[in-house]
Amino acid sequence: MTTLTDRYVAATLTGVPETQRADVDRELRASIADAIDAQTDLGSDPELAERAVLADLGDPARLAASYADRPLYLIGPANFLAWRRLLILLLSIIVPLTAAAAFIAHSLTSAGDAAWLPHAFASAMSTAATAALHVAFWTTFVFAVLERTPSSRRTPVGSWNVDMLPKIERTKAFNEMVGSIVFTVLFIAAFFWQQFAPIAVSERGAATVPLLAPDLWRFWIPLLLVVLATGIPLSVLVYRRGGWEYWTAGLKVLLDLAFAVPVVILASTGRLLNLGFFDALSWSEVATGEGLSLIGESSTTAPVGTIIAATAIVILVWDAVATGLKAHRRTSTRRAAAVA
Amino acid sequence: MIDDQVLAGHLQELRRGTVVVACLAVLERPGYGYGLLETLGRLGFAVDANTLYPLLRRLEKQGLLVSEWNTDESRPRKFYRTSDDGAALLRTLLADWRSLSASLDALDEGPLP
Repeated sequence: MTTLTDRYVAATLTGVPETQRADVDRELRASIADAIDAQTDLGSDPELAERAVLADLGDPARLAASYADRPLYLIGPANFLAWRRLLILLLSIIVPLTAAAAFIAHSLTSAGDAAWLPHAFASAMSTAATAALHVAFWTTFVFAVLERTPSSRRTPVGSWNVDMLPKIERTKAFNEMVGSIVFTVLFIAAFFWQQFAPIAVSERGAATVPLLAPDLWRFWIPLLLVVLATGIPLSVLVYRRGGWEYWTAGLKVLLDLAFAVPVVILASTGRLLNLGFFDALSWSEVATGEGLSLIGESSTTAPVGTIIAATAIVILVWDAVATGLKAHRRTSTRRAAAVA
Repeated sequence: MIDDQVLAGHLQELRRGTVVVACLAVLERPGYGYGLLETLGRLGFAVDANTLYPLLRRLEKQGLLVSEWNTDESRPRKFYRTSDDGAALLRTLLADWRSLSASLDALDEGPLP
């Protein structure tokens, strides 16, 4: 019959190096037996004493890691920063490159495909996602292995020196530019995504019906995409000029208007969303069942459309105010600097 | 009023290295795992069994302790003893502790000259 102690010792030994097992086995059993004896000598029930002693020793995996001098974390403080720096560096290089390569490869091989652009875009997105996953996994994997090599825990990978200090203003502006470009690209991708990939799941399975009305691709969606894409060179320009100025802020507001006005008009006249999407999710049935038009074709006060229109207006106003304030702050600090 | 957790954290930090010193000092006379655990507990060095047992092996690996199985009694036990290197380290650590203690006493008595 195996006792709790047998099970505890066995669980500990699986995590202890082969060469130490016999010795740890004997010693740990003796220590446990000593501790149990000490409790039974005071009048404890032997079984309860065994339980208490083993509970006190704690998780055998933790004890084994301590015997084997093995870390109980994936990447420790010594290597964490090197891991994060390398991961960010690799992601920022490899992911855009693979996305571009997949896009080009798909465009070259899809002769005759009428919808080659969205298909190439979708291919680039999924390749980039796969690449990001691989980069993240393998970088972390290598560091986790290094962490388990005793010598590298003493001398961390990569070191820091004073020259690595980032330039403050430049970094902030750079991050803002990168953030806005990434957001724009994701937003553009979302348009293609909702057209070609399932974005929602109902009890009948994934709904492969586009969320936006498909006939918008004839004019309105391309227009919106062009407007969005124009924001990318604008944010590069703002970065190169060192921040927002009144005229760049003005351009930004114009672009925002060019995006928001069509969205508001389409949404409030019920032409933005694809009714079929709501049918596929059987939401419209629920809605009509209650005698309530959720996104009625002719209804200009359809709730979903109104919400989208209102959101677009709020974002427009908020962005205009934020950008205007940035331009104002920069101009006034410059003027103050010129006076001084 | 100091938060209990903050207090416990600082006390733990302050006492962290003292268990090693205490082990090296107690084991100048040979002792075994559980016996040492009890002795340390009695002396006021709160240490958990799951910390102490691996620590003894680590100190042995570093050559600061030597061990020997004693099979004279019905329960065989692994006895540890402070090695010459261990004894030398103990002297160094104790000297360091005393000088730190003297500095802290001086700080506590009044402002720096």
